[in-house]
Amino acid sequence: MKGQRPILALVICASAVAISFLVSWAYGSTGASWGDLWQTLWGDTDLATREIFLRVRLPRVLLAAVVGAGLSVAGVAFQALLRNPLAEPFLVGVSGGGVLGATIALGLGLETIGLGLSARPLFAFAGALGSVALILWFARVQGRLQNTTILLTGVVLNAIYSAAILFLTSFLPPERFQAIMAWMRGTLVPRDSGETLPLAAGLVLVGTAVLYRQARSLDVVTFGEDSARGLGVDTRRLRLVVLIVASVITGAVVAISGLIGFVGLLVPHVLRSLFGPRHRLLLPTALLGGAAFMMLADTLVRVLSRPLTSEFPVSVVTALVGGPFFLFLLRRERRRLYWG
Amino acid sequence: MKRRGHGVLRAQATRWKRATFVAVTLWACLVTSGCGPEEVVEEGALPEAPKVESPPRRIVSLAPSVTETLFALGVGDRVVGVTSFCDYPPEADALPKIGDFVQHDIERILELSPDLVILGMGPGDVLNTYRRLLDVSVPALVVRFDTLSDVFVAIDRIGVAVHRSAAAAELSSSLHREVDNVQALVSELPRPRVLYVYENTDFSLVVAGPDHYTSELIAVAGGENVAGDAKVKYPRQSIEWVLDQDPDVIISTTAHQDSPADPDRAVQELWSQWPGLKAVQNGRVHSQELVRPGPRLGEGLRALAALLHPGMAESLR
Repeated sequence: MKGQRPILALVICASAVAISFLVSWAYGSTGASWGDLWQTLWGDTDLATREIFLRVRLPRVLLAAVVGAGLSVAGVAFQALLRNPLAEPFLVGVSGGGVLGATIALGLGLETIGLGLSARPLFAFAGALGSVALILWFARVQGRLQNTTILLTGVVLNAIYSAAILFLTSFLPPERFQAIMAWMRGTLVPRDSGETLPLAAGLVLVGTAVLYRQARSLDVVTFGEDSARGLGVDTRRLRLVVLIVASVITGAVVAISGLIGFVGLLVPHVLRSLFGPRHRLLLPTALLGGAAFMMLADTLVRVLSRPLTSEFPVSVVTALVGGPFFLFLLRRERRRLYWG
Repeated sequence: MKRRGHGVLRAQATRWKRATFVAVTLWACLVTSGCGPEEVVEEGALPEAPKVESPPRRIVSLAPSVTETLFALGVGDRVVGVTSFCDYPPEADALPKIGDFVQHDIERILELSPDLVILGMGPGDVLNTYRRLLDVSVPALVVRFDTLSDVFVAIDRIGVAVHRSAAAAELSSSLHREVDNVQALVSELPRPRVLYVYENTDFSLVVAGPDHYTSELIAVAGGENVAGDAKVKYPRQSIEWVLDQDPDVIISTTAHQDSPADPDRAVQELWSQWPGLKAVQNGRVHSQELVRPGPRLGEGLRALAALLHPGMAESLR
């Protein structure tokens, strides 16, 4: 059915989101489950149960959805922009740049930068954008982006960022240090009374819409910039748009979640193999599929925290699932990857 | 990471954990996309105590609990170097700092030409520092302050090493008395269920689990630790778990807040957003920095017992 029935694909993805949402809402680190959820919505329960469903789980499930959707769409964008099937915000160092930016904001104790604008997402965006610029600068060999160089640049950028963050955090007072650590680990913890979540959700949706308008051009560009130019696509402008949008999305997501890897790799690839490579379908399905994947991954974390009596970050799940998948892709694509 | 203060001290364990974070997590996070805190406090026997023929005159302390013990044994005037976490008694704060928990600067230790270095087991590679000190023929003693009984063993070992055995025995027995007194006062009372919070980042919590100093203190003070059956010493828990446990008393350090002027109020305000909790409804949310393991054990224990049994507060004073 590859690329044949877009409506069916969207219905499948939307159902996946709905089911994941309900499952994610109904299960967590305590025994409160379907019955209690039903009671909370249509009946009467004690305050603690109400709070578990409405003030603890719901914000976290929504956060997971936004983060997953954003990372997955950003993955699609980077794969098209860098023409690399292995590109992904975390691996190419864009998330790391965002984390560094946000660490600087946190380290300076900046909450806002005036005009009611939250400092953290802005700094995260600046960091993400800076990273993309660096990748485009360094990974360009004789005017072309090289697959291997992109990934190596990402590795080195991540190393540099972690050094910078290590340096910065050495001078921070404990309370700020903890805030940064909690967030470096890549946990999904609703913050700031949820104020930044709607903003991030808005940015992810608008970003996806902007990319969607370029869907056809993205299809063409994926086959190579030369042929794209031949077909009348303004590749310079397109690249600029995709670069900014992908950085905005990554920055927004990193600012509310921290460092979570491989989602942008895993989800788009699975969807491509299911529904084909056309961006008209890939973008909306990545938005939905990413949300569903992340909600389920976080549910796993929360449910497992009960027998384990301690919670671990959701980035562990995404890396344990996504890492091997990356290696699998690497093996499959190695001929293509052989120095471009 | 200079101490910021309103006169209250953080539990040692919190620092160890935090210091471990710096060493392990930070680096690993960017590379592997996340990992949890590690327990690095090593199990097993401590290295043998050094033979110190004459009373040491230049002592370097590599742990806050050690520093406090040295001052309590009356040899504070012989301490020539401490860690950046050693802030009690105030005289200790003024001494040269030779590093923190994770990083021990051997060169700066040697510069002070000590005739005894006392190390506390912690997240840093303490045993490595110990071996390196022995390599350069500096007598070194390793002690541990992880549990209540560790405290007594440590006081004894330090007493022997600094030739103050009598003072150490006296300190130990007075601490034993204090523990017994508190235990006697609360033993017949109902045991409230207690949640002790080390770290709170947007209500993602690190709490006191079983088998270490804080949990032992809770038990002695007549409380029951709600995380007492956890599988790790410092479990990470969500607010959902707290709502489910619904403890009678919540005690939280304020390490996560910007040194509030009124720590009790700051903690209460923070927790007031969860009105479903019994402890919040009954006004039983408190800030308390359990004084670190060491000579002030009794002080911390009495303060804790008074929070768990407000009716006994008078007799506990």
